[in-house]
Order: sequence, then C-alpha cells, then structure tokens
Amino acid sequence: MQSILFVLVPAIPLFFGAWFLFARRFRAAAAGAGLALCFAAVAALTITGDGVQTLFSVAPGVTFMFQSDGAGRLFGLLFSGVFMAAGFYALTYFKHEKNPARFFAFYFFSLFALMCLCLAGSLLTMYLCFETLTLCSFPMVLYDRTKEAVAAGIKYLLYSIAGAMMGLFGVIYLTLHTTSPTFVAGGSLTAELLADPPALLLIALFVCILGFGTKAGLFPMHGWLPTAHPIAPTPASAVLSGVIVNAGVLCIFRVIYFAAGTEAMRGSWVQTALLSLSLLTVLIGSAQALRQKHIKRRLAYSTVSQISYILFGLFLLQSAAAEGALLHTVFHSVMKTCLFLCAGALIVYGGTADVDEMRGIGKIMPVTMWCFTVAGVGLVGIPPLSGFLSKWVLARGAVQSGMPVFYWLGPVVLLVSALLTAGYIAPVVLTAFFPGDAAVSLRARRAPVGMIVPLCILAALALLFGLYSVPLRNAVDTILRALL
Amino acid sequence: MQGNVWLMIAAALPMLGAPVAYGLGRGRPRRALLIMAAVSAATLALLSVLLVQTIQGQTSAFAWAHFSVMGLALAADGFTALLSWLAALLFTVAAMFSLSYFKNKTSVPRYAFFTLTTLSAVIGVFLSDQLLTTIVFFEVMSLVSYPWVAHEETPGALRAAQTYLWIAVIGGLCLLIGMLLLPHELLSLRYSMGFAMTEGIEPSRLMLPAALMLVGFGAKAGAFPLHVWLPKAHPVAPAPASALLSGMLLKTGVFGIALLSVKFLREIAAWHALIFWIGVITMVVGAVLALLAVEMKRILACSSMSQIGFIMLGVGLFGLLLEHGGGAMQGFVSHMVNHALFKLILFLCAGAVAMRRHSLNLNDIRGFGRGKPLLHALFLAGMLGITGVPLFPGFASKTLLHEALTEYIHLSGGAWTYAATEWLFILTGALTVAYMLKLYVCLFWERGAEDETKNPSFSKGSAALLSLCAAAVLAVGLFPSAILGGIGRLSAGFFHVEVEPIRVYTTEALANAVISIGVGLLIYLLAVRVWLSEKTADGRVYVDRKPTWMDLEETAYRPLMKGLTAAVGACFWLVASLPELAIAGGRRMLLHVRAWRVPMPGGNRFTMAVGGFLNGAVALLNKTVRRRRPFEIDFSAALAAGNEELGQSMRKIKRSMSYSLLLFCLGLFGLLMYLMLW
Repeated sequence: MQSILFVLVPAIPLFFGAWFLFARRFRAAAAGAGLALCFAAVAALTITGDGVQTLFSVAPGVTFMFQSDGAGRLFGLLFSGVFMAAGFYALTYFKHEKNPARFFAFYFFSLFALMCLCLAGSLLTMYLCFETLTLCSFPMVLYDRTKEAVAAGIKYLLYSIAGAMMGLFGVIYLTLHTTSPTFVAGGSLTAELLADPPALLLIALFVCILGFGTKAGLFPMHGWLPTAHPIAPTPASAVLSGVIVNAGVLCIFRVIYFAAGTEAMRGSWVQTALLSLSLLTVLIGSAQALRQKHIKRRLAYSTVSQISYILFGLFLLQSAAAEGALLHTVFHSVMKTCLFLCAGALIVYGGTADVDEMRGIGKIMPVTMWCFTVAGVGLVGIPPLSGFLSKWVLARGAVQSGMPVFYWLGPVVLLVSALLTAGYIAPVVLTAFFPGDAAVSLRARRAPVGMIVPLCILAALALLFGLYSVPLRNAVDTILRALL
Repeated sequence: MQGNVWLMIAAALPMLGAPVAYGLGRGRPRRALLIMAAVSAATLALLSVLLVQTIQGQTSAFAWAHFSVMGLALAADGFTALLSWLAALLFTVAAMFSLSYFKNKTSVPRYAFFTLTTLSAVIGVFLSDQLLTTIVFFEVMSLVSYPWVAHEETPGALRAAQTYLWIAVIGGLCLLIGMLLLPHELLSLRYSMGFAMTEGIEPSRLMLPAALMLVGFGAKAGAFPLHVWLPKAHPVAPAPASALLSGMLLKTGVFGIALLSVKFLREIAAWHALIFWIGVITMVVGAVLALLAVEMKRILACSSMSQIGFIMLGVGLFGLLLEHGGGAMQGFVSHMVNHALFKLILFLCAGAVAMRRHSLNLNDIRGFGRGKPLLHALFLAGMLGITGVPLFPGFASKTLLHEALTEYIHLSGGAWTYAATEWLFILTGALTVAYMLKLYVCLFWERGAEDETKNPSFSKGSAALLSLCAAAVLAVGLFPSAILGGIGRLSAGFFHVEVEPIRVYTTEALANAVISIGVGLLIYLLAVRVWLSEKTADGRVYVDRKPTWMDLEETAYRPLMKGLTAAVGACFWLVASLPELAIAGGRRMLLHVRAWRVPMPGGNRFTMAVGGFLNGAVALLNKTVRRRRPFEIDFSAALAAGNEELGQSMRKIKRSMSYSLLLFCLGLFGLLMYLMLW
C-alpha cells in the first residue's frame, strides 16, 4: 500500500504536468482533479505511517530513496494543500489568459518536485529534488515573457543554482561523514566527528545552510526573492512566497536536525552567525517592505522577513522555538498565500497594483479586502489569530533557550518587525475601508466567486488555527520530541 | 471546556450578534441599531443574573484549555462581575441613544458590528481569569474600536484614528513582549486563585516586563504621556461611541493596571509609587488641558483623562497601603463606577447638542441649553457629580481617595513629596469645578444664536433612559454608604483586602469640598473670565490659548516616528543592497568591466562594415530599380541599435552570472581542497 503511494504522490502531479505540457486544449476540470488527487494521495500516505523505499542506486553509497516521516508528511500536506487552494484560484484567474496550459504544466511540475522533496529520504535525494524544483518553478516566473520577467527569471535561476552548489558542498561532506544513509531523527554524524568537530565540518554546515537558505531568502542570498516573486502571475507568486520558500526551510530543517544533528552546531560560531543573519534578514525584509508601493513587491519583502522568523526559530536549537518555527511555517504559508491571492484579485479587478491608489476599494470588493485584513492582521501577530500563536511560542522558546544576547535580542527584533509589519499592512487595509473624501476608483469591480472562495477558506484557516490548533501542535510536538 | 459555560456565552454573545446586525442591517440602519440594542440588552440580562449570583456570594469560573496558546480562562467574582455588568449597561444605554442619534447617517451597520464586537471584548477583559486571556481580549478590543474614531471619515477623524490605532498597536505589542518576559509561573496564574507570590523572584525581573505592560494598559487608560490620542479621538467619534470610550474603554486600561498591582506586583513598593505618580501627573495635566480646551467633547475628554488620574492615584495608594488599603480601594472602585455614569450622561448630552448644531465649539453652542429643562437637569446631574459637590456621588469617592491619601502621608512620616500631592489633589478638584463651570455657563447661561428648531433635545426613549441614569447618580449620592459601601464589599475579594463601612459626611470632608469649590470658583473667575475669553459685541468669545508646544503628538511623537522610520529604512536599504553593491564593485575591480560608464551609442567595426555594405546596396537599388519608391533605412544605424540592445541584455545576464559563477567556484574550490587534503 505504502510503496504504491510512494509512487503515486509524485506521479500524479508529474502526469498532469506532462499532459498539460503537450495537450492542445486546457481542461480546467482535469487540473482541479489533479490537485485534489495529489492532496488525497498525500493524505493517504499520512495515514499509512513511517516507511522507507529505495528508488535507484547509481554507485555504491550513492543511493536515492524515499522516506515517509512526520516532518515530510507535515510539509507534504501543507504544500499540496496550499497548492490546491492557489490552483483552484488560478483556474478562474487564467480563464481569460491565452495559455493556461503552459502555466499549469509548470505548476504541476513544481508540485511534483515539492512532493519529491518532502519524501526525500537522504541528503543526495533531497539535493536532486531541490535542483529539480528550481528548474520546474523558474518557467512560472518567465510566464509573461516581458523583458523584466526574463531578467527576473534568470536572476532566480542563477541565485538558486549558486545556492544549490553551496548546498552540494555540505551535502557531500555530510554524506561521507554520517553513519546512516537515510535521514535519522537527531542526526547520525560519526562519533569521532562529534567528539572533536573539525573546523571543516562547521564550514560545511554554514555554507550548506546558507546555500539552502537562498530559497528561503536568507541574507545575503535574498536578492532574487523580491525581484522574482512579484513578476510571476499571481497564483505563481502565491505559491512561490507561500510554499516554495518553505522548501528552503525544509532542507535546512533536514540538514540540521536529521543529518548533522543539533550537537555539532550548538554553541559554535555557526549558530551565532546564522542567528545574527536571520535576525538581520527579519529586519531588512520588513523595513524594505515598508518602502514598496507595489503591493506584490511589498508582500515579497514581507516573505523575506517572515521566513527568517522561522529560520531563527530553527537555529535556536530549542524545542519550543523549533515548535514555533514549524507552526509559523504552516501559518505563514496559509496567510501569505491568502495575501498574494487577494493582491492578485485587487490588481486584476481593482485595476491597480499601487497601494496608494487603493482608496475605498474595500467598499467595492469587501470580501477580498476582509480576507486581506484577516490574513494581514494575523501576519502582524495580533491575538487571537494564528500568527500570534506561532510567534508567541517561538519568542517564548527564544526567552527560554537562554542563549546569551539572543534570548532578549530575538524577542525585541520580533517586536520591532511586528511593528514594521503593522506599518506596511495597516495603511492598505485602512485606506481601503476608510477612504475619507477621496474618490473611489471607478474601474474596480467584484472578483468572481471562483477566486473569492479559496481566499475565504485560507483566511478562515488563518483565524481558526489561531483559535484551535491542538492536533497540529501535537503533530509538531511528536516530530520534535525525537529531535531534541 | 469546563465550568460555567454562561460566562463564555456572555462574552461571546455580542460578537455572535455582530454579523447578524451587519447582515440584516445593510441598507437599513435603523434595523441594525435595533439589533445592536437588543443584543446588548440580552447580554445585560445575562450579566445581571451573574451579578446577582455573585452578590449572593457565588463565584463561577470557566476554562477551555485548548484555546490558542495557553487556553482561555474566565471567572466572575464581585468586582469583575460588577464591571462587566456596568459595561453591558453602558453599551445598552448608548445603543438605545444611538437609535435617535444616527438618523440619516451612513455606515451605521458597520458601527453596529464593531460596537458589538467591542462589547464582547470588553466583557472578556473584565471576566478574564488569566493574563493571556486578558490580553487576547484587550488586543481585540483595541483594534475593533478603531472604526468608532474613524467613523465620520473626515480628514480630522482619520488622523485622530491613525493616532489611536498606532498607540493601540504599539501599546499592544509592548503588552505582548512584557508578558513574554514574565517568569513562567506568573503566566499560568489564575486570578481567582489568589495573587502571585513573588518573594523568590528578583524585583528587577518583574519591573521590566511590568513596565512594558504598563505602556500597553496606560496607553488605553489615557495616562500621561500616552494620553495624546484621547483629546483627539473623543471629539471626532459619534457621541455614543465617545461615551463608551470614556466610560468603559479607559476603564479597561485602569483595570489592567490594577490587575498588575493586585495580582502580580503586590509586594513591590516601587511599582505602586510609579503608578501613584503617573496618576498624579495625569490628574493635573488632564485638568489643565480641560480648562484650556474650547470644544465641548474635548473638555469632557480631557476631564476623563483627569479622572483616570484620580483612579490611578487610588490604585497606587492601595498598593502602597496594602493591608490598610481598604479605603483607597473603595475610593477608586467607586470612582470608576461613578465616572462611568457621569461621562455617559455628559457625553450623551453632548450628543444631543451635536445633533442640532453640528459643531461643538463653545462659541457655536453658546446658550444652546436655554429653555431646555431636561437637558439642563441631566447636565447638572453629571456636572455636580463629577465636581464632587456634597450629596452627589463624586463627593463620596473623592473623599475616600482623599482620606487614603492623608492616611498614607501620615504613615510615611509626612514626606513633603507626598504632602504636596494633597495640595495637587485639592487643586485638581478646583480645576474640575472651573472647567465644568466654563462649559455649564457657556451652554446654559450665555446668549448665542437662537435654536431654530423647537424640537426636544432627546427622543422620548433616550430621555427616559438618561433620566434613569441621572436618578441612579442621585441615589448613589444620597446613600453612599449603602451603595458605594456595597460595591466596596463586593470588590474586597478581588483585591484581597478587608473593608470597613464608609463614612463620608465628616466635617473635614465637607470643609475640603468647600475649599475645593471655592478655589474652583476663583479659578473660573480669574482664568476663564479674564484670560481664556474675551467680551465682544457679539457676547463672550472663548479663545484657544493652548500653547502649541503642549501638543505632544505634533511636537514629539509624530516627528520622532517619521524620523525613526526614515532612518531605519535608509539603514536597512543599504544593508539589503550590500551583496549586490559588492558584486558590482567586485566585478569592476576584478574583471575590469566598466559597468558605470555609459556605453557610447553605436556599433562596432563589424556592424559598421555590414551596415555600410547594405547601405551601399540600398543606395544602388534606390537609384536604379526603386527610383519611384526608395528604401529609407539606414542599416548601419539600425544594426548599431540592435547590437546595443543585445549588449545591454547580455551585460545584465553577465552581471548576475558572474556572481553565481564566483560562488560556484568558491564551492568547487572548497570541495577540491577537501578532497585533496583528506
């Protein structure tokens, strides 16, 4: 049963991607069915429990394998779920575009690469999937084929390849020095290395994490993110910002907690450097977002900032902080996807992408703006929305970790960043609902139901997770209990 | 979920009613308001039952462990049940008043929606039994009350609302971070189980978090120096909303501060002194601002700030006296209740004025109240109450506070700093008399434009309601020991203190009241009649003599925020661009690419040669075959332009390519070194 699912989970999106790549006509129903099927397959895999499946072996010791464990399933459910929501939105969004099949082909290929990444059972497999993901998702950035789109696409590609190369260095080092060919909870570094960690181990870890951090927009490799995300068509921006950045998070999570183990890093300069970089990124992202007028670019910078919250939580190597990080991965994914999808509706049906021109748009597109408000307020971290829960657990973990300096610097930076987040979210919401005497843009009209429904579902999730998230927290606790 | 579910229902009922009011009320403002009033009244009925139960000595609690981070815990004892009942009462009266207030006004369903949500949050704050629950409701309340201030959507209203929101957001985040830094055992404390034993904990570990939380609660209470939103928000909000802001929302801030004092920092004297001094400053500054103001609602708003100062002073005194603090506790609790009633009446009176005059500037409403006995009587009830005239409730609560103050001065050995506060206390009482007189004389005795409509100021329903409120005020004033004493006994459990029966009509108290009123009259005659107004042919004109530097928001906060945002933005822009600037610089030095030089328009030798050849061919053709319709293309220019375009895009690609190549090489280098050395 499980081995079938191991094949099915990646095969479903791969099949639909190939179909749309060569199909003459695009069938919306088929695309919708594909997304739902993929989600269902992951859900089925979740029920079947842990397992390992060897795929193929190119040389002794270089084996590619799939593995189903708690972390992979959590990310798999999240990725396929959010892809489903954004995909249903895209069905309506692309109704009037010329070539939806081309978009959906690469949308499904990206989903395929993500599913493989979630199932990846060893570092090498993970690296392979990571590269595949870059190659599959970059055509989505190119979709418009304008000069800027091409430039942004190339920037994305080159940054990602450079990042993957840096990652490869660490991957090879760690593969050679771990006792287990698969991911093991808590890491499987050889005993002599753990007893006396050489400088090269730390360098490899640092370079590797920085490399995978490229996808997650970690400073100094964040440059591509605010360029590439806003250029893509909205559903693609949404999954780039809401899902694909989390691929970087997953890789870093795997490297630290499943391959190298936390002991090698704890207290070393690598941890200090990474914590500093992540906090710096948090501030850079939100400060830059405040300066952007283009709504999608504003949201893209916000992603840079929010993902580094997650990385900060992971780098603290403390159970509560890591729990907060994983929760924030889920919640941020839901909220940011919702925000981007709202932004898309505002751009297409509101007639403007400039946040200053959205005065009074809340009176014409109330549901869209309400969803934007709920997700945005959640992103700031106002209780009782979900963003508050994850940030609270994370910050509480930082305080409890007792890391010198960071135990107070972390929460302070999170606070300042939350203020800046309020600074870039609140004006959009307020001018939309309280325009004053300014004329309302006449071109705006209501978004169609097909786009509204996914928005509402995501916004409702952002609220409900905040009110009640015991099953999710239990799942995350189970994952982390084996690690720390 | 366990315990008394009715607590949760009471807190959630208005929030559930809010979408109903909005949905059914769209396009039908009156229906929205009716639903709002009905839901508020239902909540009031529920809470009345609860209050009666607690008076009979029966406390109840509710807990839902799976809510949000640490669960949700509610409990009702005497004090909290009283406050939440009072909140529901005020919201109900304001809702009924708004039925006549909002005639022909837009955005009413929105108002109903957010008012009901706010009611839920306020009840939640009062009934909460755990810090996190308090703060969740508090944050929700801060945000959903924003539409009250922004309701009119005039530029002034939007600006005031902006201030309101930012102070609420900053305050809210300070609350959260303060709570984050609290020791863990305090976070899970249930208020109904007692207070935190902080003996083993360093006071410094508590003072920093508590100070941060004070920012949050103090901002909502309107404590100096975070009061700036208060005098601006009240005048622009609709009158029922102003009444609720002053009557209830400020009290939630004070409630938060009292909570910290009573439950968390009970044994830390420095904290209580801090609250005391903030109270003193707020009390005096508020009264001075009220005296200087020339707008009816602004006077009332600044007056609220001053009265909050009285209450905070009482909270501070209670903490300083602790086991002797029964009198102080009774004083500030009764003042909380009294002030809610006064301000309800006074702001709704202002609403009645605003419905006719559309401006509340003192010079526009001169003599409005002449020939309106009901308005006159209601206003007098509120005014005599707040100024502390004997036989009215303000006298009783202020006397209790004054007695506590003298007791503390006596206990502390007569330190001059505290002795001076006694004079400030009396002076503020006098200022209260002066600014209320200013308003009263202007409204009811001076001559101004005749009221063109002879309609009554209130609809029958709101007249009856307000008369009831005024009657309540009179009753409290006439029987202070029964009613206020009862309130004190009810609250004693929450504050863990013994109370004695109160006696307010002593010769000393009466003498103090006479002094206070006398000085107040003197200030009125000297300051208001001489300095703050001028006599013209048109009657007395009130002049705004408030110096501009006194507006802390405009002189300090806004420039500071602007400067900080700009500086932080510029700083982080630089940091964020560092990697790419480094690439550009590195390329220039290492690879000799002159990226900064603007390339000359034009082609290279190849394009010149090809272009020249093609140009020659075309010229030949033009002279021979195409003499009639010659080609008009300059091939060398066109090719040069094409070449330029190609070059530019290539350069763009190379710029990022070289970066990744650089990194690629670094990675490869590391790999090779590793393979060679190990």
